[in-house]
Amino acid sequence: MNTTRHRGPRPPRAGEPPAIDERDWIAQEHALAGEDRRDALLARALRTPPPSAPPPPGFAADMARLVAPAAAAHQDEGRWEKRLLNGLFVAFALGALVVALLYGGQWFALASHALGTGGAQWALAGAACVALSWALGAARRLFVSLPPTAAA
Amino acid sequence: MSSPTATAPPDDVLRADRALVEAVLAGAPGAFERLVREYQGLCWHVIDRMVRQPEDTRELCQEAFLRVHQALHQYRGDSALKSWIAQVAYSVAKRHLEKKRIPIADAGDDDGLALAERVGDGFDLETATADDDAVAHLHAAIERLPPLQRTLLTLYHLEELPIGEIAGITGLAEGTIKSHLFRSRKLLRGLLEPTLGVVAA
Repeated sequence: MNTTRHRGPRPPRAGEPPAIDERDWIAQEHALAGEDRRDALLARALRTPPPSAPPPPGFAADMARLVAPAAAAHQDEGRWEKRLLNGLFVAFALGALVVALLYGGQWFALASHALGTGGAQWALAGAACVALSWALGAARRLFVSLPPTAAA
Repeated sequence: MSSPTATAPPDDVLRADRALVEAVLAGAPGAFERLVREYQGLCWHVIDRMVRQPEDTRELCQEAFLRVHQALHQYRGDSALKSWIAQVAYSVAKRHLEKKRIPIADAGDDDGLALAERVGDGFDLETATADDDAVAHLHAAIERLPPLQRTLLTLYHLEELPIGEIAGITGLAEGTIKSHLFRSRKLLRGLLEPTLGVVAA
């Protein structure tokens, strides 16, 4: 559905009434705000709602009941997506840890050969800082997304 | 008369709208009911003025709010929620009239004569001494206007929406809206001319 975004004036299409002079429009607007009895009556009639039946008293509550199943399904869908995402994140983190334990020694040896022992240690410290920061952020997001009883 | 001239809703209105929409999207208890309660009058006015069939109005309002609920995540918050909901209500009512092959606007090529005859049919203010009688006659005349003209009068005068927002709701050019409003009001005022002239004399 198109949301209300105004794209500026559009020229009238065929079949639409001819444009009016802006001065006539302003004059009519001023007249409706004036004290002439006819204009005052017209302004009053335009401002007051027509004599038609108002919305029935329970309409809003009925609508809320009508959309409740769809809203609940949408909420469940959202919760399921979040759980799936969290599961994938945990699996990825565990996988990364296993790979680091298996191949970390080889990578450090290669890095020492290329950068020197001191350089490799600094690179390892930097990588550890980045990994720790990312893991803390991810853990916080995971903790927040859990239901209150599970997170407590 | 307080004619709506502002083009953008105030920030606090937009903030409140966004908060309400976020509450509905988050599934907060009672949020959607609050939204419906707040805008059911607007929806009712727009649809009732378009279709003029009380038995259809409730059903179409229900359809409009279902569409609002389904599409609320698309509301970007850069316009008032009131305009956004009015747009949904207008499109639901317009589609209903199109299905029933009811023209929503006067052709506008007969200098308003046919329209004047239709609106002025049986309209006699000679005996109207009280203002309430005249207002009731004007309401009856408004009811005989084509759906689009009736709705534009409602959006502009009753809901006090600016012309720019009405353009967004109806998809009409601002000049076209002004032209419809001008012609309708001129016609309605013309109905008061002879009687009040005699009374005043």
